[in-house]
Amino acid sequence: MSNAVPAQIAYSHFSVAGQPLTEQLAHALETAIAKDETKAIILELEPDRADFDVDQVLAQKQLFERFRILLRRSEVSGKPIVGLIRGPLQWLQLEIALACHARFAPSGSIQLAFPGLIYGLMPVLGTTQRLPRLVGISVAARMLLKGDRITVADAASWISVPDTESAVADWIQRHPQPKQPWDTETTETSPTYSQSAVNRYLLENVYLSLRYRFTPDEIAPTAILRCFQDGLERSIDAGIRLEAEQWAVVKGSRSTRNRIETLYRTRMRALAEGVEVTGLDQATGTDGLARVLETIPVVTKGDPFKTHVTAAYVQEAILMLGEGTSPWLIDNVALNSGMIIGPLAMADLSGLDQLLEQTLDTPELGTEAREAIRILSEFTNRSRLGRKTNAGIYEYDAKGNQSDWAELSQIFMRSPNQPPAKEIEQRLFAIQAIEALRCVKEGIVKDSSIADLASVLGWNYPAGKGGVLAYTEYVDGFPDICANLRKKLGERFALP
Amino acid sequence: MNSLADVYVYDAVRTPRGRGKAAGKLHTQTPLSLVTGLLKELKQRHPGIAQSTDEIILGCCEQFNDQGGNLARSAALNSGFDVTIPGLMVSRFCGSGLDAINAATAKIMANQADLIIAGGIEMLSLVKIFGSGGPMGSDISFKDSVVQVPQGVSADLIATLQGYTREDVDDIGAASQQRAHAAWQQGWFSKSVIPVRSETGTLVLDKDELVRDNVTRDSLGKLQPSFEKAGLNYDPFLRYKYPQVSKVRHVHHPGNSSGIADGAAVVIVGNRRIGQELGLEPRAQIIATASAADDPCIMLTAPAAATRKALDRAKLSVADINLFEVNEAFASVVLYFMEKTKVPFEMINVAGGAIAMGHPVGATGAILTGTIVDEMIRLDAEFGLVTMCTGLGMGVATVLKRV
Repeated sequence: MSNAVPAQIAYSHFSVAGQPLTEQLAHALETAIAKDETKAIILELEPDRADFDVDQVLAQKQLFERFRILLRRSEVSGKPIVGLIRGPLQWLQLEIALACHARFAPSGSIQLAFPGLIYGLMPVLGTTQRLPRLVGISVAARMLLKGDRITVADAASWISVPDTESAVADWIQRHPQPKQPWDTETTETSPTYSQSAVNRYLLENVYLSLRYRFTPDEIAPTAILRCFQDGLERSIDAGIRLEAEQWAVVKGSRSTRNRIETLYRTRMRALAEGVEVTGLDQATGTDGLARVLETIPVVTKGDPFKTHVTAAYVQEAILMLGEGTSPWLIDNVALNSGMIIGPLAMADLSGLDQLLEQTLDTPELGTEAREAIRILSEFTNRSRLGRKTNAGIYEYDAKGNQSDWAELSQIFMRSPNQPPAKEIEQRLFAIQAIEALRCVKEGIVKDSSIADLASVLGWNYPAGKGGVLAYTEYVDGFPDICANLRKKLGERFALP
Repeated sequence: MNSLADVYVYDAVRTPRGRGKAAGKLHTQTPLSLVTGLLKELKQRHPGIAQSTDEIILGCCEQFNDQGGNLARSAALNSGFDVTIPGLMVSRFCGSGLDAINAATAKIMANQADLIIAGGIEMLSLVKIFGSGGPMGSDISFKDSVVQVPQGVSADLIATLQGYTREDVDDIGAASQQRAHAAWQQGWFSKSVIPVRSETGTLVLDKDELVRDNVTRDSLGKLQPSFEKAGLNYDPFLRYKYPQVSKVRHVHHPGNSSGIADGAAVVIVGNRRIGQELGLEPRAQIIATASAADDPCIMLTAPAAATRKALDRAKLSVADINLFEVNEAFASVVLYFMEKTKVPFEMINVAGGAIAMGHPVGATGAILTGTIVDEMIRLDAEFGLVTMCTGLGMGVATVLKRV
């Protein structure tokens, strides 16, 4: 390539994945742009590692602002900037590729993705603005908010194949002063103008689908959607400024800090140390991690830590059911707090007979366990064993759709004064934390960070809260919450 | 310091309500032409107002495109009113027309104006509800805090939470049609409805286009619910605000929901002195107004609260009121109002409502005000009350007294 065009910058050392921003590159780019004799700039974008190094990327944060300005200056410099995509790109390399005037790849099968959302991260160099303007809001939402991968073949309108010297030279020849599409059209006439009737409808649906998957306390997905919404009704420069402001919000948020700590740092440590954690072996690379985080959990006998904590979680919900609380209220509060499945739906999925058997196996049956046995027996005595019999706490149709079991409110008289959602949430989360503390104390799990990781990978505990024990710091006044619950409901809420 | 002035309704006119679709009879009119027609009618009836009006205040929900740019001032200029007469636009979604009257009342009561023409306009065949946008559609944090769902889903949520059956809501829908049909048959709207004519004078519409004959609970029972499809997207989302709801029962359909409509209405409001000066006959007195708000997610429940506030200001109780106009945005709104205030349906919307005749949102409050004044006179009722639900969970109310 080096002879194809004059004054190129070859930029080929990405062996340390996720660290493409350097002072040297910034300086070289600035110099090249400033020189009259520079006819074009070639950026070779090397593939990233499957599991990028979050800490190394974050360590570059002082360069984010410099590159934001630099990439934008490159775009409007009048000099062709060509990106050569050498392999699968994610995050910063992809962001740089988007800021190029043209992109070339050797094959259509190369994958592109932005998997940062798993770690509560969002683009930092303008991708929330360039990607939707280039590929449309729907595809951009799938990539940035769902982590979907696309191939170079899917991106045929903005990535050319193959990347031969002649193809690149020819493109440069034909585009001596290229402009980005966002620099040639007005915001209001752009197909991605977020205030058009079509895009309002589209963004509303993106929002609704986001809220099925992420609760509002997960800051990064909200920030990305906000960048779409607010940025796409403004100029690209204003949009990039907005993105930078949202990045500042995201990086300081508890949900992002918790996700990085648990899903990145602790997971890397567990992998390195060979610690046994349910789901860890499948959770390698961001793809594997995403798959594990989409798995609907059940209460099992296999993993003692998971068994103890999920059994306590489900039992607490069973007790509430016995107190006359609506099952929907209990499960919806759990979903609203970020659990992937409500405890009673989880009970039905696990099998009420199995839960009963497990509870009966408890060495010393306390008052609550005996009450849970009584409640569970009301179902099993009627052969209502859960999803497997299409009848449990809920009714299920052939497609698995859940509905009310009419007799339930007669067997457990529905209290006219249903408890506040906050109290239900506190009970469901405090009981998990207390049981996990007990497990750490008894050596069932190695340490509290591993307990957090195990909860997220094991039963899809909301990662933004950091994990089952990080919750004790995530929620304000955890000791007081437990003290109040203990006073009201009994010794199971005593801190171990 | 002057004492508060008495505020009178001197006249009220409206257009017939057209179907708010491209095939609707009023669709080829413009918002400006509809208001202009009404202002010209008032000017013809009461020539002195073209010079003596202090202000024209119009309510309009969606103030953009042809409904933007201060339609009140535009209509004043377009109708041959004196060039010195200013215009003011207000918006509180569906309550805008009633708020225009309430704003006029407040100005006159406080001796800041003598005579105001207040009313509303909306052509839903031309603009979409929420077409002007707003943070409830585009601000993520705000959306999270309010859990906004489409109005029809909110109406179904009310029915679900309060246990209203399909039969309950269909009864309201059927009664609205039967009452509106009877009212038209008996000419109760003959003084207030001004036919719309084209530029060449051809009659465009002289009767509410949506009113149907022979509507019964059984005939409505055949209609499919309208908001099941929206519910696929929004019902699960409701758990953020109403986690106790297992399943939303979708009971509303076109036969028990307000019709999407085009229309306009204006009311002359003024103090005693200007009425005497211009020889205007007072038809009713506006004695109190109020606005209130409730949860924006369920959205449509605030009329009861607005009613209580307005009645408190008027030093009256629900039992003192002889007639009510409760906007039939959806049947469950009326049922909820009845449940909270214990007002029997016989005293509500006696000439039918928006389910039968349509709901040109920004205009409806002014239409209802004109209707209640006519009905108070016809039935010799001492007190009447108009109330409406609006977007974002608000409610508006106006209390009137026969003179």
